[in-house]
Amino acid sequence: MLPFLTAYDPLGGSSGSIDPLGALQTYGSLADLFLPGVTTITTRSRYLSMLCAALANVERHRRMLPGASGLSQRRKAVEPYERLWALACVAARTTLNDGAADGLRGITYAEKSYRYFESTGKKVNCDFPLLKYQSRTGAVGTYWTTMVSGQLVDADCGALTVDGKELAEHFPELPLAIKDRAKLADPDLAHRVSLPFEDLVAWSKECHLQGARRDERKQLGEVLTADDRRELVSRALGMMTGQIPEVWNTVALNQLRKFLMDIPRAVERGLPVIINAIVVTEQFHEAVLRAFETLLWWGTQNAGKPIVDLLTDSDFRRTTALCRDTSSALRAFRERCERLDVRDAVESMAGFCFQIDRCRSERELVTELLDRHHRVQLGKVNGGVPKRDWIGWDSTGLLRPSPNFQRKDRPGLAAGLSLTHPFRLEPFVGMLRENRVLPQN
Amino acid sequence: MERTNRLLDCYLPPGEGFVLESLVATTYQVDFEFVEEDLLAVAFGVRSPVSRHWAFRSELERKLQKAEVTVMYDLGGCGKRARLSPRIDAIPIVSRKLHSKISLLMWVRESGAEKDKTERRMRLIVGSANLTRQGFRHNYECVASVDFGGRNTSPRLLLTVAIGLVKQIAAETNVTQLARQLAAFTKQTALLPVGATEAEDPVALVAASDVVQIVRDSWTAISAKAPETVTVVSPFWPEGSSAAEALAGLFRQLGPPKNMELVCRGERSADGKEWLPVFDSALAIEIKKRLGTGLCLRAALPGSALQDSSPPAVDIGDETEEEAFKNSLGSGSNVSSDIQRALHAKMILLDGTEGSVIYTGSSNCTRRGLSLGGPSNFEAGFVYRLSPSQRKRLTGLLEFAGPAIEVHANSAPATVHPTDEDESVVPIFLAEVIATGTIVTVRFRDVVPSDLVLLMPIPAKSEDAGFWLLYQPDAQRQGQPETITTDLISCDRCDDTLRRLPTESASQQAQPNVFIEARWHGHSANYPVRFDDKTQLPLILMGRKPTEGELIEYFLFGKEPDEWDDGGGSSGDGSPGPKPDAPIDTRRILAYFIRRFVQAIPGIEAEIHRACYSFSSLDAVLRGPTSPLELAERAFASLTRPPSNYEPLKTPTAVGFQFPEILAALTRCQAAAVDSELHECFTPVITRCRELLDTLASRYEELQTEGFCLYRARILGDAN
Repeated sequence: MLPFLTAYDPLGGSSGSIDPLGALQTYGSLADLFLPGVTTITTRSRYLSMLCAALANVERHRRMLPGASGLSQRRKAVEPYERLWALACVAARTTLNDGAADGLRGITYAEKSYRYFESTGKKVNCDFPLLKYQSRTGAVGTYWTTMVSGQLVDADCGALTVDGKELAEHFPELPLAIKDRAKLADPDLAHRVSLPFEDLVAWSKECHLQGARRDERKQLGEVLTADDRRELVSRALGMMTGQIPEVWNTVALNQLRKFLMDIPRAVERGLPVIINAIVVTEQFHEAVLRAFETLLWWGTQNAGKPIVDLLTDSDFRRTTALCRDTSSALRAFRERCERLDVRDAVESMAGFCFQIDRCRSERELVTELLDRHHRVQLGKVNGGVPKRDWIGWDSTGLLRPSPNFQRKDRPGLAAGLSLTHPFRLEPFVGMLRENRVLPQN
Repeated sequence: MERTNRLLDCYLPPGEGFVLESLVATTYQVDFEFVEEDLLAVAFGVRSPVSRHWAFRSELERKLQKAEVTVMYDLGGCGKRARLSPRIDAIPIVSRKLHSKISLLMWVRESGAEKDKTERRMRLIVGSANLTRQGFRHNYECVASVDFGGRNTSPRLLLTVAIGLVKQIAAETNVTQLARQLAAFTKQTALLPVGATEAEDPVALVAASDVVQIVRDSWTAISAKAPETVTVVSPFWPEGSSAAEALAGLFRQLGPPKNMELVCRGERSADGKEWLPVFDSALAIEIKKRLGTGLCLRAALPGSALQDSSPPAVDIGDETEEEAFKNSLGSGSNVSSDIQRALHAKMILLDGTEGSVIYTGSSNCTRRGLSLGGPSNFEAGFVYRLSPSQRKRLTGLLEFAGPAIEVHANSAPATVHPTDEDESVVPIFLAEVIATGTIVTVRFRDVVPSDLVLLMPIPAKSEDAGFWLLYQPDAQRQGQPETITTDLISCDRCDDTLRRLPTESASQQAQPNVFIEARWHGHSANYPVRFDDKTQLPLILMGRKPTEGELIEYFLFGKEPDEWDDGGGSSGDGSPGPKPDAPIDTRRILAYFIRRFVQAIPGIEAEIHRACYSFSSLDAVLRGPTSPLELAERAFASLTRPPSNYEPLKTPTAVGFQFPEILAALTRCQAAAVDSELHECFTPVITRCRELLDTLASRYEELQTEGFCLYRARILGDAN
């Protein structure tokens, strides 16, 4: 093994050190019920056009295997195309406008390569790394679900559907000869493809992330609303015009719910109930998270001191009262909720909520919070070892939290307004707007 | 294992099912808290979090029971921090400055049912990082590791040289465990194929005296011309008035090159506006004048190479969805611009069009580090020969180096003048401190200070329990002591001011601490205590030995005894524990207790079978705190102790029944052990159990009856 420079590795600061109370599973389930097929990082719809064009190029020049093998082949085969296109987006940003590469995945890699080609005057190729794991965090890893749910590709083999082929037609053609396009479709040969820098710049003027024309935008809008729930949310958002916030909170969600109540099919699909579930779950999570953060703050400032000092503090009592109130609300919601899919989605958090609801004292609540945190951390693995607790206690006092989780300032009380998770609305609204499904702000 | 640049990941096992069997490490500084809580926790896969102190410690000690860990460190480089575990051998070195950072690790994996086919792997880690939290988590360090065994074909000579270097360092000591570990490494190395130097393997492992020579030879092997650039990465300190001559001499030996770069520590300028190299500007000018070639200084930037701490994605907008939640969830991570990473890596790079040579290891660019004249340190480093494409892949090694500041012969570059590090006063007159049972032996190596006081803190859970006064000035004493031996049971106790404390009763537990405190000439320093027979240690230093009932529970259900409570069975939460059972007359019935004992025997055998892969592991299982020998001892003692929780009053017959069963189990396990070395582990245990049984038989008439003798003969084949 060659020598290496050691990484900065502060205790507890490793990746994934989030979610101390284990709410991610519930969030994922609710978000999938609410806005399936999009995520918080699917922010630019033109990725869909690019992927369709890349797949069309692959299907034009290579014979793909059927079934899952073909799916894997196709997902791999579009990667060289994505790299070349990423360079073009950076070129467009440099020559056209600043937003042409906004939301580009692997932008620093693409910028580095672009600068290299620009400064050396060498022909442009796609033989450079884009992201550490392009297949996992690049275009395919990020947008494939949207491609499937938008009915652009076949879910089983990844072949383009009629809609997918049509979208590919809208995308500007590669400035390459036929034989080079064939090579680009083959990951083993793609490194041999090169084109003059000027050709890349010329292509970039039309293919960048903001370059979709009217017909393409129209089709992208249809893709984004191809799923029934997304379409219903989109309609409700349309009714909210002028009131769509930049950052969503529980008030705005409740407003959206009211508009959804006016759409019979949305009621039939349970969307208002899902929003209710999101609101009560988020309010509960915000309350317990604030209580947990208060423990981090207390542990930082008063490690080893008797915890009874904190338990008798009036602000902490208000914090714990909010935990109990919001847990009662979540419990009540779950008991009267008739939709099985929603009840299932909140199941993991509901278990925690019952535990909190049963606590009769501040001390019991602290014990429950720290036990929950301990169990959550045990389930996370980092380098083969379960993650350490952010904070622990010895039943009389809190131990000082790990350095990265120490808090200098006391957290405020939970207001029940903010969302502790991004529920995919901001990127969804953004994509609807860029395709004129919703009017621009 | 996915390749990461986290240094701790180098200590993860090489594959599924491998357990750490042996670790020998050398370092200049050591932070034992870090070693125990981070490094060994990773190496052993300890699941309990550190914040649950007792659970963590208990789990770690159980793992340490079955492995051997030795850390050699420089006595002058280490502060006061003592280790907590008596199972780690901490060996201070004083004869020469120990600056090398070598880790030798050996893992073992059983191959299913075929016990004789255990598989071993070894890893050699060499670099610049001390065994401290700063070294592993914060500094810029350069490290390389090489695996041996399995499909790895790296040249075994590297391992042989590393073992040789460690043996050189250990020459001043006489430590049984270390000797055993090094013998095991040597034996295992001999089983490896000779191997060949592949593209990514180092060509040599070198000590201080060989660095310059081997680097130069390696360069000659790839090019007849002088290197174009020589880059030296190292922290720099004041090296006296002849430093320019020494450094210029070094560069001449390495080339001389067309360009030279010195990458040193960085520090903010006094006005806070610039980031400057920590280097003597006059020295820079002098080197420039002497060599007449291009010379640049580069300051290590404070917060570079942070991205590797979050491996999956590095760019804004490139994170996965889960990572995108961090902001709204409040991860608490405060990786930001206020991070200050100190340069501690040491490298010498020779670059040319034909390729490159790189040295990376522990040698600072000092006379002692590179053996440029005068005494040299114990150092270790790898030398690599790199093709241009390999060199390109290593560009990241210097990503922390800031912009180059060219040195001109007629103007001083803006720098921060380096300062000397304070040298701490250490007890070099101590050679070793060994604890065996309650006996503590101190050996001296040098002139003992006239006012020397040696104290051992009495281990206590909470309040300060005072010290055992091991040694103090005595006007009556003739000459210099070479060795002193003290039994802690009869040793005087004192407080911090040496005021005598009342003598404790003889029954009081006297478990030696892991360190002693030396006071002399107004100085004070800690010195580690070594425990040569670790199987006799309680699991946790301040814990107690498990009761007989707990041992049976352990073998029966695998339930770990609570080592840290007072042994009274209290749950620890203030609630009253279960009431002790009334005595049961086992003469008339086969009591539930004895029935459970019988049911626990398969557990004893299973435990032994599981440990039959190495000497240390088997020895711990046979003689450790939860072992059949301990069970036999507790059973023997039960006849003279009052009954306690779950342990009824027993008759000699009941105890006499237990012994043949334990002995039979041991004999069966011994017969099943294939390795003759492992076979030997059983002998002292069986002998001791027989002694106890004989004592019982001679002491109690009811065990001399024909019935018991017949039973014993049937089970054990004894004649009597």
